[in-house]
Amino acid sequence: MKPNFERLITALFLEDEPDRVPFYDLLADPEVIEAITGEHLIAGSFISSIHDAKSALKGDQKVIRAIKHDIRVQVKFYSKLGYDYIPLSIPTPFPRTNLLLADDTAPLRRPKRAWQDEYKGMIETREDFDKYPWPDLTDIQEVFLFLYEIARRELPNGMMIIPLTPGGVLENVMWLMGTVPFAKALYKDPVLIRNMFEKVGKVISFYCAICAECDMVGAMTMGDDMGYKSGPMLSPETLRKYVFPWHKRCVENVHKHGKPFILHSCGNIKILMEDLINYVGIDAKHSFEDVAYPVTEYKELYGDRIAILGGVDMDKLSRMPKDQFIAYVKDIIRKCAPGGGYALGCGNSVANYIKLENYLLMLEIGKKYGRYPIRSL
Amino acid sequence: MSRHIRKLQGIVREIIKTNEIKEDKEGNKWRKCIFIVEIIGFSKRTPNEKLPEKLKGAKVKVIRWCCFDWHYKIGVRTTLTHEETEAVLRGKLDLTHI
Repeated sequence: MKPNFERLITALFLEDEPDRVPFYDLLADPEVIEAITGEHLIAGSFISSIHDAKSALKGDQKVIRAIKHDIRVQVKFYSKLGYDYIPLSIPTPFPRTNLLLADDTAPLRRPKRAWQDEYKGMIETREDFDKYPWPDLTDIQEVFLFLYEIARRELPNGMMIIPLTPGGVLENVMWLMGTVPFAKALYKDPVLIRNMFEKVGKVISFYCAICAECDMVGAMTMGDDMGYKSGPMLSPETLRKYVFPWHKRCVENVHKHGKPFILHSCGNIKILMEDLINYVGIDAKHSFEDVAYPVTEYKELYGDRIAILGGVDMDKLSRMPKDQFIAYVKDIIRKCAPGGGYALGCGNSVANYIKLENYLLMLEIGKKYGRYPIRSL
Repeated sequence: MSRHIRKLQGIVREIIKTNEIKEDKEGNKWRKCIFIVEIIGFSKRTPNEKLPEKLKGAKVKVIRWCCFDWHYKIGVRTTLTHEETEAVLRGKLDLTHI
């Protein structure tokens, strides 16, 4: 089956005509891409922020060659496995150092795994805010267009690009401030909070606008984790006040070009779904976890209004024995595919800690058992 | 662009299985079925299209070949092809021969 973005776009428009359920994943970890393609990704070691990227693009041929190589490898990975798009993102425009490093225990381990330091922020006060090197929108545009042009040239027929925002509106604010200082500032310094959301929201919504303008961009994804297993991290009122107006602007910037908007948001956010569908205007929801917010439940509750993407549980991808896993994936297809508006994929991302055998099996099952009823044979 | 092609959608109310069966290259057996679809509107792809009053709740017969258990699910949304859509808009409700 050749790549055909129409397969995914029909799912995003809640139609059921594609030949099989399309595949959708937020991204694949570099270690997985390397393991599947047998090639090394190299640009990551040169570039960690938009500032690095901007200076490299001024003429560092070594870095430019590395970026081209990496995009070629990514295209190879996604097309080989049956995806109809490649995700594309820019390095973070909001660099930060409040990270904690730990040993990675994943089967395809990386040297260190980074965790957010919840107690420390880059920006905790007005002074920090004023000193922070906020990104220039022109730099963001230049870097994205550079990457886009390379990706566009590498794309096989039928494939398109789905850009991924460099973190979400809420995520970037919480990452920059640190969870605890952020929570304190919500009560002690609401002006700082509002200014933070304005700074970040402007960048993310601008990014959505420039991406959606590009011909080979078929849809847009924003990853903005908003919940725990038990519910949202912030009250719906707080999200309505600070976050959703920016989300809405992002969606509008994409809809202007007739393209769908996918929201990846971890956590049980059922309590927010009406806001996200009716006010923000998302077209699809991604990220599910069987123990708290299973994909089958979301499909039943919201599948008549938005597309539901992914949902094959990360724990089952990591540990479930083959026979049980086959039955499990088939059951998701059985419950989510009828009527369309569904794409098969991992519950979160193609992370380096999942079992590759199960991941590849999931895609195989999708290709065979995910075929739709057909008009003629 | 195909993105703007209008397509009607409806709910599958009944599936009539015929005796006609074909096998594909991979050995899967596909059964010819008649789907009775209650029209509900246009696909999200063309949000400004309005369903003509006379077609609200109209029941349309279309052919679909089914293979897996989940293909026979009743009460789910289904999408007509562009060709089927245009035929229905011209007033044809039995599309088992197009």
